[in-house]
Amino acid sequence: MKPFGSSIFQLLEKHPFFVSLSKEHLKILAGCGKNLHFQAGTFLAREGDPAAHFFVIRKGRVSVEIANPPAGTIAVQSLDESEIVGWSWLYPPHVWQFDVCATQETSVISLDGECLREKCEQNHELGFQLMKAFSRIMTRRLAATRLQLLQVYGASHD
Amino acid sequence: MIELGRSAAWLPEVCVVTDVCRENKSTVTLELENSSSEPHSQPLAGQFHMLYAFGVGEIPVSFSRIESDKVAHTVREVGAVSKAIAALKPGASLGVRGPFGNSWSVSAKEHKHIVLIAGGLGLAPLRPLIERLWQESRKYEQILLLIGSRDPQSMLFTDDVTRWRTRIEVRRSVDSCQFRNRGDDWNESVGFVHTLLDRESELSKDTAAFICGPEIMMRHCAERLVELGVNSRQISLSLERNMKCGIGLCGHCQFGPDFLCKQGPIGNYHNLRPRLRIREF
Ligand SMILES: Cc1cc2nc3c(=O)[nH]c(=O)nc-3n(C[C@H](O)[C@H](O)[C@H](O)COP(=O)(O)OP(=O)(O)OC[C@H]3O[C@@H](n4cnc5c(N)ncnc54)[C@H](O)[C@@H]3O)c2cc1C
Repeated sequence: MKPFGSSIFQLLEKHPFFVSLSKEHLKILAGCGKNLHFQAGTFLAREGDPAAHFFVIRKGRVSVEIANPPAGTIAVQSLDESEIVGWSWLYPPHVWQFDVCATQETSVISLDGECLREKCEQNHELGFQLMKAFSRIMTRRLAATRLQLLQVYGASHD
Repeated sequence: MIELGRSAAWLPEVCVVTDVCRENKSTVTLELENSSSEPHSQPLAGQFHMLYAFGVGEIPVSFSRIESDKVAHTVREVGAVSKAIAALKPGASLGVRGPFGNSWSVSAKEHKHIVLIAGGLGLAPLRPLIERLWQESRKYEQILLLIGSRDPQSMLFTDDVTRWRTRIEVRRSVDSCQFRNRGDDWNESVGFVHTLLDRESELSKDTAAFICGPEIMMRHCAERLVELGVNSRQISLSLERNMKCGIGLCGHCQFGPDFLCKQGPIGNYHNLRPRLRIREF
């Protein structure tokens, strides 16, 4: 995991997830962010760990997964470039519910959730805008997960 | 009363299975001699045959490959007839009626951007269209093929996919993925097939889309395409509801004013959308 330089403000400003945020809010967010790089096979988060960050994928792919010993691991979702990873930082008990593993070399903007939580308590407009943005992706992903669970393609064909 | 010209459509022609390829535990591809000597009866991508397993029954099955001297059908074993057909060996014969139904319609003059979405066995009816687009890929600005499947083991036509990737962009996703060691068998996406469109913020207005798979999957993919700016008239779906006669007589496949075996199975989303919302249909 190593940081590399770039204007986080500009990256966030161009990102569709943050469109409803004002410049002032984006500056606060950018102040809590840093660029990170993960090799394939390394973890961005581990189930049960404190959720202190969330990530914006700049390049690469991560897998949201859960360990299922001794059978192995179950991947529940993959997320690619420009997707947002993690909302546990925003909701109590602020603990990661799943593992997140880079399945390719992956570059992200890592945003410090603990710092942001404090800022949201002080600045409710920022908190409201972030809540709105996160509930949008949560509802979209919940709907997609429901379809995923339907097994529309029938029984296993292996 | 049956018109004279139509009566031939009731009579199965006996065809010989020339090759059999097992795709996975429950799915096989049968190769048959292409008996359509007349140019007007050459099968088109999206059409289907009524395949008759002697003494068992007859079912509609789409063309999964069309060549001048042979055709192929990919069959999943779900009940008595499909099981009997899937059990046929090279040299065995089966009854064939058709080709029936309408076809996928695409024109490089009208569309520069193509999106194909296949779910599960829905890749089979799309394969002849994909082959054509692969051959004519230079005529198009972008061809994007999205494939969804239950799990990595159920993915169909993996050798073809490798070849298609030389000229068209293919994204694949599975609903369920369990592995012992990382990278064991799947390093592509996990999630419902329409999430493969999440990377697009907008699709070009001249996009033509072709979707085949379970109806729930087709509805959701079509809605996502509309959200991304694709004209619902340019979204084609293949509605493979149960059919019997194949020639618009028996009414088994009636869907509102259409008999899907004749006016379908392919229709555009603009026309189909209101009917897809009627539960009694
Ligand atoms: C135009 C068209 C093209 C088709 N193309 C293919 C193809 O390329 N490959 C292929 O394997 N199958 C295809 N099918 C589906 C195939 O016709 C059915 O699986 C078959 O009729 C099942 O018959 P059976 O006697 O084996 O099973 P049955 O005992 O009749 O049915 C077994 C189970 O399959 C379900 N079923 C039956 N027909 C359908 C259907 N049309 N759609 C969804 N579920 C169904 C039944 O509800 C039941 O649960 C196509 C259907 C249509 C209408």
